[in-house]
Amino acid sequence: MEIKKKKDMLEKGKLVVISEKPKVIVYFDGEKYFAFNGICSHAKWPLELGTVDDCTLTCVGHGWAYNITNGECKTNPGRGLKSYMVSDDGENIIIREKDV
Amino acid sequence: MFVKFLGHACTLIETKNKRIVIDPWIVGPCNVNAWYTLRNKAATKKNIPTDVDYIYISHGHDDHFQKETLQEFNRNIPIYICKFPTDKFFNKIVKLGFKNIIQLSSWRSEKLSEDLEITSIKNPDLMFEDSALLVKSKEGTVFCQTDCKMDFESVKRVNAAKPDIGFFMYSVANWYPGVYNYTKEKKDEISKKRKHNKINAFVNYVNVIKPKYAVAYAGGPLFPHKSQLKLNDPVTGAFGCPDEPKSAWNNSGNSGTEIVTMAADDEITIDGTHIKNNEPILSTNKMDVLNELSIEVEDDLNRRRREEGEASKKLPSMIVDYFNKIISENPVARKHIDMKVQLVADGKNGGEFVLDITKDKQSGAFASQGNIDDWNYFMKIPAHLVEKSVNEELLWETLFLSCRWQADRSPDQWNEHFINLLYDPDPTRITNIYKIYEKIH
Repeated sequence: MEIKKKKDMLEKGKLVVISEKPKVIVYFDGEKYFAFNGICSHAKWPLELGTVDDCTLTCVGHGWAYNITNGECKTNPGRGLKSYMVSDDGENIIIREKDV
Repeated sequence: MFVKFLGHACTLIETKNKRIVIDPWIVGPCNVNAWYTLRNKAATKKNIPTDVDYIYISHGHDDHFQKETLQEFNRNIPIYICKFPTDKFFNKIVKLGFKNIIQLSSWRSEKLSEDLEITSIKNPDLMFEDSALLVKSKEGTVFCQTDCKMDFESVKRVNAAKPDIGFFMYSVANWYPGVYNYTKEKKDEISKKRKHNKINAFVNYVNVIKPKYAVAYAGGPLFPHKSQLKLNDPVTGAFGCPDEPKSAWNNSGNSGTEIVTMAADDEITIDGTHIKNNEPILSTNKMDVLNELSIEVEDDLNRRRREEGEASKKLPSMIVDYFNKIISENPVARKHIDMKVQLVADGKNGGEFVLDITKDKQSGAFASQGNIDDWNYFMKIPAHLVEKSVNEELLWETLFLSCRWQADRSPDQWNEHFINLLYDPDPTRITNIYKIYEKIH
């Protein structure tokens, strides 16, 4: 899988859906881009409705929290999100599967 | 069509000809003599609407399925529940003597009469059973979330049903962080965060479902026992009041729904007319109400706690036998739990016990008397309550919700697998759950 998107669609501090199938959202903290599955592992609430604070994404449905740097679930260990590799070619970001 | 709010998650919905009561906890405390409903004065049996045609109960937690209230109803009244993967909840209702229990498949509507249709909605959790309810008549539709954590697809389907009135939970109902060995600062910080998350969830549920009127309910209880008063603090406690979700909604910039703050015994008609019969308990007056309630129920509550009795001399061997059985029978749960537990049954005939639920331990004694320093989870629970749980008279979860115990953990993280084992250690249930769990994670 490879998804290429213009960087100008991303805004610092916002969760942006860049792909619906598979659903992938990207968060830009002002320095780095983080990409992960955009559906909460718990009850499938859309994670773009969530809030990010200090690298923790909290789902608005029931408060499940994820570490956006690696997708790990902080509130329910073992129930994390798939996260993706993000590279930057200057104009675009490119999302790829992580090497296994 | 109108709804009478009877406190906590209890609603009485009346159409032209029929009445259905949902999650009737009205009188007395629940969760091992700890919780009271958010009321100015404790309710009496006169507050129980026993002349109903139907009862719906969302799940088996004491604050929704409370024996003292249910005992006042005729056992021939039909009780509707959601069809869950296990019969555990069904069997609990049978034990109370009810003769007509109907299990509804999730999202399959059931016409109870010419003018009353209900739809039960199951939660998506693998490990815990809960449900919400849609109630429909010719005059309108009412949604009761109870405290069901719904999947997003179901929330959108409720929106499509265009409810006129929705009742939504807004508060934590949990022992975290109340019972944990944290500094006051840490406990306060976690409590505030949890309360904020729950209120945020209320705003988002209402915003997706968009009823014309939304009521914040199934919120925090009151803990009037003198030993537990600190849990009630409206600023530092995790349990909120209904003015808080209303403010959060009003500040969210969302629109299209009016938030109605209802006190127990208030009524709301399907067109939104709010009939006030009581003063609501808000974050501003909660502690005054609590202090009065604490005095009012003190003697009764102390009597109830005394009547819980004390642990028997056999308790140590009962604890060892119980945990050896449930841990040895569930190897797949052990693999996921992977921790050592120090259990202290506190008080007369109690003792210290080690539960070895590590994934590498395959045989031998899983439970024994003694103490260890390298525990991952520490539980100190009144011995007589431990006895009730190992005897299966008291759900562990009900005991935990009482907040009448102390806990610690290392590392400091939630272990849903351990709670799941205690929730219902039936090996068939556990095996079925992990077949699915391991496929999706």
